[in-house]
Amino acid sequence: MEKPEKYTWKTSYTVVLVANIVYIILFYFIMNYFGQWN
Amino acid sequence: MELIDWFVLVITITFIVWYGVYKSRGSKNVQDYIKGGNDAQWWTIGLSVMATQASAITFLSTPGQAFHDGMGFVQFYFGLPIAMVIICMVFIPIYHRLQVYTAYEYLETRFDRKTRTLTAILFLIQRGLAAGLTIYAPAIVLSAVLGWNLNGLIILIGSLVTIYTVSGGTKAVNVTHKQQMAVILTGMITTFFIILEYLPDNVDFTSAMEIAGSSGKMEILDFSFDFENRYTFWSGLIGGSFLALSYFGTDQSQVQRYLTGRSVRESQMGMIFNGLLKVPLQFFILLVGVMVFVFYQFNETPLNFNPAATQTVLESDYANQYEDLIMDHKELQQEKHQLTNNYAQAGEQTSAVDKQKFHERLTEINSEEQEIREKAKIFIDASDKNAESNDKDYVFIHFILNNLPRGLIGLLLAVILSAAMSSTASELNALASTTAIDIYKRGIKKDKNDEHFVKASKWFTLVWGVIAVSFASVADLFDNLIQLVNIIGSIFYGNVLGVFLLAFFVKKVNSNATFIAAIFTQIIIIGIFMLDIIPYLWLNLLGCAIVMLLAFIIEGFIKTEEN
Repeated sequence: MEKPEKYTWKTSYTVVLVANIVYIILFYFIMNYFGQWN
Repeated sequence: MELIDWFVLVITITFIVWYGVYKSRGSKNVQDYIKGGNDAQWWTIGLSVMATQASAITFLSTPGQAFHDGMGFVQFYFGLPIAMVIICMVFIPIYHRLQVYTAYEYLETRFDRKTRTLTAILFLIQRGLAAGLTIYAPAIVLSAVLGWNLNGLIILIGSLVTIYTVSGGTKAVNVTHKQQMAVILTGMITTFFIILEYLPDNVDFTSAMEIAGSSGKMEILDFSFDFENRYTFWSGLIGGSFLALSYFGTDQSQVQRYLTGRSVRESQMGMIFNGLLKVPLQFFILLVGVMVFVFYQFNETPLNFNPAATQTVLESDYANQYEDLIMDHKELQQEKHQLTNNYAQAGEQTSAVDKQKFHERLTEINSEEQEIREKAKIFIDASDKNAESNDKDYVFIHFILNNLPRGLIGLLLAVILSAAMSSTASELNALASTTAIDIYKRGIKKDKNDEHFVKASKWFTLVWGVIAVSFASVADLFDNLIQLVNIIGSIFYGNVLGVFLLAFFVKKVNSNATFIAAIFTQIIIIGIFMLDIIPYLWLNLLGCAIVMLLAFIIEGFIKTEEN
């Protein structure tokens, strides 16, 4: 029986996902701040 | 273009080609030629992955997209970091452990030779056509605005790329990618600050962003579930993850970049680097386009940025109506410039009420201008159905040629040519590797030595270079070529991704079931496309779902027969 692959979670994966969530939050604030005249 | 621009352009491009050939000389074995000697560090991999994805049309088209439609396109990249994490966790460790040269080689170890050959051939068809387009797309824009000979430009770009890719293989592609990314980033950052410098004295970055915001250009996020709207948060997150997973995980032009890593860790770090920087980089390129928009709130623009389309309509029966539109557009722009210049002169003394009035009037004028531009497109389309009325690819190059200082025009043209060369080099490199390893070495000449396969790989690179240039040279004979290549991609991509997902995640499905499912799926997808049931972009998702489902069903039948 072939052993199933073992996938390892690394801190860098958390960093990249959290960083992108932060970008999206920043975009949200930028959009609301500069879109107020619209 | 002045002499200094030619000097900057020629020196930059010649240096990159020379550097690529010089740094990669002496690749004598397949390991060196196809996997770059397996000594790439994470930042080389990260830059190479970015340079492969960023084609010339990215730098011509993306600022133009922001000029017309604002920053919303950035959402298209929201799924990319998720795909990077999946590739780091699942794809990279397996590819490295098996020491494969191509992604399709892995499929033979998991399934069998016929599945490997099928996916390799699907890749060759799709990427072979796309390589021609990667050269053609910037060449048609540059020839239209600079008056350069189209075929001459195609042959020049194709020949320069082919020289260093044939000579040094993957190592040459990797080292030139670093230089090309350096040229691209220097050019774009310098342009950004020059645009800010060109704005009136009282208009700082914040005011510029407010002007963009009042014209709807800062609507970055759209959380609606509107299927008519191509770029929403959800389509970017879900569709974007799926597209990025197929492109970065199964397309040899990207897989080959991270197979050059000196270790699993270096390859993973390279992809994490891409996942961290891709969204801010796209945001920045779009922001350059938005700043071009703000610049043109104070300066005159043509009614349509594509000079060839304008000439076509002015030589047609619609010339009088089009000239009337040009006059209307000019009058509207005069009113706008008076409004924006008064606002700029008043500066910080503007009251909140006056500020509100200014933004409201500017929004109205920009809406009217948009209507005039849409009418102009209708006349262009009516004058010649082959004329390109959508001018988003021409906005940024128009700005560059008419406004940037001497020397910088040459640098920005070097940015566009560098981007064209970086993507094409990866494509030729991947096409040659797949032909050499998955077709030639596996099926035709198994027992030859390393030197023979290096020579064969060089010949295959040259042949694919000639095919790409030939296809680019006849590309203008076909209508809607970009769409055609995207359709071909969508027809094959989903099926190939489905096969890879089965290989990685579904251990109970075996080779025969997968191969039969892949063949049936391809026939079904082509049938669905011919019946025109759904928009072609959804064929990606459908192809992936059908092949996985069919494989399960067929595996069930096979198991029942065996029992």
